[in-house]
Amino acid sequence: MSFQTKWCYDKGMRYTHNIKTLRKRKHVLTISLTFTVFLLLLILVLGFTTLDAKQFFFGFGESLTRVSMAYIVAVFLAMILTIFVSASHKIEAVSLPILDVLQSFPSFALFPLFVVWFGKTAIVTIFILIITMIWPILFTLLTAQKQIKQDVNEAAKIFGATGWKYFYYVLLPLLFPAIITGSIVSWGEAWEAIIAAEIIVGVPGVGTYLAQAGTNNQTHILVIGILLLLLLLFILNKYIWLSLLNSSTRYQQE
Amino acid sequence: MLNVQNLTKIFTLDKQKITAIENVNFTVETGEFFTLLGPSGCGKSTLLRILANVEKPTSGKIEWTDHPNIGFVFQNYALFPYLTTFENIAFGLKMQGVNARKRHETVKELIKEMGLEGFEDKHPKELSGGMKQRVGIARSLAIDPNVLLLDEPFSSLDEFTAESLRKLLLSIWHKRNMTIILITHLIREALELSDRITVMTHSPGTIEKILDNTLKRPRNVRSPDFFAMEDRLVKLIKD
Repeated sequence: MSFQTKWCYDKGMRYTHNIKTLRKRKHVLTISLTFTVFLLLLILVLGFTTLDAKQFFFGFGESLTRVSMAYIVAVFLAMILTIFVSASHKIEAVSLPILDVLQSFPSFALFPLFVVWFGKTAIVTIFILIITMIWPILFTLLTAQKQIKQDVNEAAKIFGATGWKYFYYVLLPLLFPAIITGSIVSWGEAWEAIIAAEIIVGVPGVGTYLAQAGTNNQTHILVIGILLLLLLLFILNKYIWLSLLNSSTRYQQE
Repeated sequence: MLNVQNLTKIFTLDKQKITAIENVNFTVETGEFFTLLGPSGCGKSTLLRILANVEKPTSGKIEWTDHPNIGFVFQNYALFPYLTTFENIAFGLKMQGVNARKRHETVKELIKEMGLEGFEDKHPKELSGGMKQRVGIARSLAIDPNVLLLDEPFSSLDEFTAESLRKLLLSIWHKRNMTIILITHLIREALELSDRITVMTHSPGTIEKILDNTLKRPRNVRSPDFFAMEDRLVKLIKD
């Protein structure tokens, strides 16, 4: 029991720590600007002449849509599981070890089963994504839920926040920073999973686009594709997740 | 107004039974300033939490003659970290479904009374300990309580801040027709503030003696009368 608790605590803390050092750097803006300009120049030079930009961005858009859909489901499930697990000490004692075993189960092992059920369709990739994305969010949420101070919970109850009011006005805002840090980890793992899943299933997406370029021996397209993907993910992280993380610091307990 | 009979609370921790309080009996009159005085770990916090209905007693009875509307002030403030001063104070009213205009009026007045002007939009993180406790007290007063429970409210503060908050608490009590139950381990604080003082001993927590604090208000903590009363109380604790 104590082992599991410590484990997820460490995982959450380590991540928060990394982000803090990143934010501390005053040159983040300069670095990011240079990086962006450099990549854009590279793409211009290497040329839209050979890269089918339309196909690439279309593929990226499809992958992004799948990750987003899986993310919404994963957050929702993680939230429900957190509420369920934290309902009583007995449920927690039974379910935490089970969840810990489940989270170390390789999601791609379920791949053949999903293919049997759904065929080689995009739904399979979304299912793979959901079971990849849920764990970082769930375990950061469980850790954060444990760290809510007892007196804050008591204050909530005394001043009338019970039932859904407790959920909406107390629990959700208290867990908000954890949702963000968990989401950042889970999106990182999701990009890894979606590329692989798309290549294996063969549905159109950024993974298949890169795989095709590989089989056709178009190295320059591969290089540009990878750089473009890097740039897009960088923009996503910098402008969505990092700014969300910054705004979530005011929600943090002391 | 409050009658506590044979209150006992037993916690089970790792299959071990710990008696927090045992057979506690006392009564509190309406409008009285009542203090539970005792060392740390004597179960006085547990007792207060049972009164606030966030903890269930193992056995015993609590009877309120009037319906209690309870405000609670915590030792470590227990403010909502994601809310501003204004929103923290308004929290109870919002949960009751009081409309925004009415909330605004009440909170504005309290901010003035508690000396929190200029801090309305600050989060707890940005406030000093004394300011946080002012917010904590204001949050309780916002719901217009007839009973105010305070759990070591000034123990985390420096003596200068604590002293000014004690004065503030007395002025709040004089202005409103409110019953106050205070928990403290400070003998002077108990004598300066309360009408009656109950001495608790620990493991298990029981009530030893009750002292009628007959000192006239406003009280001068450097007067001979005060020292004499302090001697009486110390003697009561030692016996």
